[in-house]
Amino acid sequence: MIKLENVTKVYKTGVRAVNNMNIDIGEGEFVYVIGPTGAGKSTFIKLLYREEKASSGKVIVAGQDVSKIKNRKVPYFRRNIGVVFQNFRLLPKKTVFENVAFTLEVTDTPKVQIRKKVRRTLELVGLEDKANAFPHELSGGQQQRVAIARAIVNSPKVLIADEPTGNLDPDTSNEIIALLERINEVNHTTILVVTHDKEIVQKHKKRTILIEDGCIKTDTSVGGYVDGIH
Amino acid sequence: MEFISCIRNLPKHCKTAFQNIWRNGVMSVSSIFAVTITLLLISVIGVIAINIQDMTYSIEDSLTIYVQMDREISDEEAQKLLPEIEAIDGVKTATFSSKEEELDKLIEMQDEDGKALFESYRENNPLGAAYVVEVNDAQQIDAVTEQISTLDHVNQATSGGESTHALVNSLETIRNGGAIFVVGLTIIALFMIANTIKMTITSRQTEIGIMRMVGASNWYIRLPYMLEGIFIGLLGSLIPILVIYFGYTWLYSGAVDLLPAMLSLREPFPFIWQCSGIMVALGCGVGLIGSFVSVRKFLKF
Repeated sequence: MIKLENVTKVYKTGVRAVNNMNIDIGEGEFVYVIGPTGAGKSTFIKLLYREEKASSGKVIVAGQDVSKIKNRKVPYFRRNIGVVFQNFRLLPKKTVFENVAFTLEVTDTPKVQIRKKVRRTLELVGLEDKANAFPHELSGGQQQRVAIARAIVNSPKVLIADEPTGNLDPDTSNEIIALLERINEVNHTTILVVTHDKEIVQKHKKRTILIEDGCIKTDTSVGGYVDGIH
Repeated sequence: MEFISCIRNLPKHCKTAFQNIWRNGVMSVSSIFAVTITLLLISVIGVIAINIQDMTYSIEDSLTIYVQMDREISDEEAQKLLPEIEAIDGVKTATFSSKEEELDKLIEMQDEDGKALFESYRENNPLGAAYVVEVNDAQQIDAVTEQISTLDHVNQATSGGESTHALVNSLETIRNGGAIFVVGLTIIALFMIANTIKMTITSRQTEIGIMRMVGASNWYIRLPYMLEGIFIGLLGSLIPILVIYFGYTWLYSGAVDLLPAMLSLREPFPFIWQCSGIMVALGCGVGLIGSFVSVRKFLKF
């Protein structure tokens, strides 16, 4: 589902964020990406949803060579990928329902379908009673649930979560990860979670990729933090 | 395909645009006010400039060349000159005035004693026939006068000389100055409007980022903003139109008795409608272009 071949990304400033990276993530996998700040995690996921272009090498996501997608076609490519951020990034002037429905509206989904799918997704994330609330009326955990609902409502093949629990307390964090696990099980979505949170990685053990200095230091299917790394 | 989708979604985009205007209340109001004030400025100055222009033209139109014929030739002979005068480049009309009519005019200008005196010349008219010549462009008045002077049997052709020349030149300067002023003002106003709209859109940069994130095509993002710009322009032009409508009709009805015919204001209709149309077009156009340009900045991948 996600495949990187000898990928290098050098920014205009000369910073080598990703250095000759090779990786293969299959369909329906749940993967943690960990590593210290500035290791290149963010660049790695930005390459996946074409926020950045690789300087060299091949990035293949959902069967498409990402760096070959024309600028004009990027929006269509992004419909295959759901992204969740640390700071939620909800549209503040739209209600929960409108926020989630927005993903479907841009793809010209019929209204009846939108209503059905949004309701079902809100049920999945446990927010069916908050449909008419505005984001600022919700707690952090609830906002993140809305963001997840928005990311998965059009059944993307890949869900990328960039520090989804960074702004949340431990209990809420656990709930969010449990929700991601459920989505992984129910929808068979490939899920990539970038995180700093040791406890989560230890508690919900999955394949864990450690990135350091733009390279993959360890890639374990056992899960958990490797000794000696913080 | 994208185009068809845009058309089909037009009602939805319109709704979104209105929703955006409503939900970004303060920003929208400030944009609308920017449009209102600048359009008001443009329209008031524009209306004044156009009327001054009209006045200068009617002053110029009233400038004529007075052509006196030789005293010796008869009216019939003098009239033969008409085609020749009319053939001169730049001549609009030439009106013949016979010896008799010239004397009438002269007598008209005298007081009682003078009238009686000049009446006695009726039998043996010492005056020659004359032409009153109007020109197309006041700038040519000197050249035409000179040409007429060279014709046969012309005693004298006068246009008022230097003072007319100076008047024509200063009227021209007023017109050009006014036009430049209006154009300059319009450009400044357009920048002001575009800038305000840009501010409202920049404040929604994250919103555009999110739209892109979930896979909205560029036109899908752009269209509501463009419609929003049009609506803001439309709403902003309402007050200027009302001001022009009531203000100009009031001014016209007040001025119609005060000003001489030569300096009269332009008829309010269809002038007001033309002005309104231009204002709506300016407001909408600038709103549209302003938002198009501002959004474009955030749509680069």
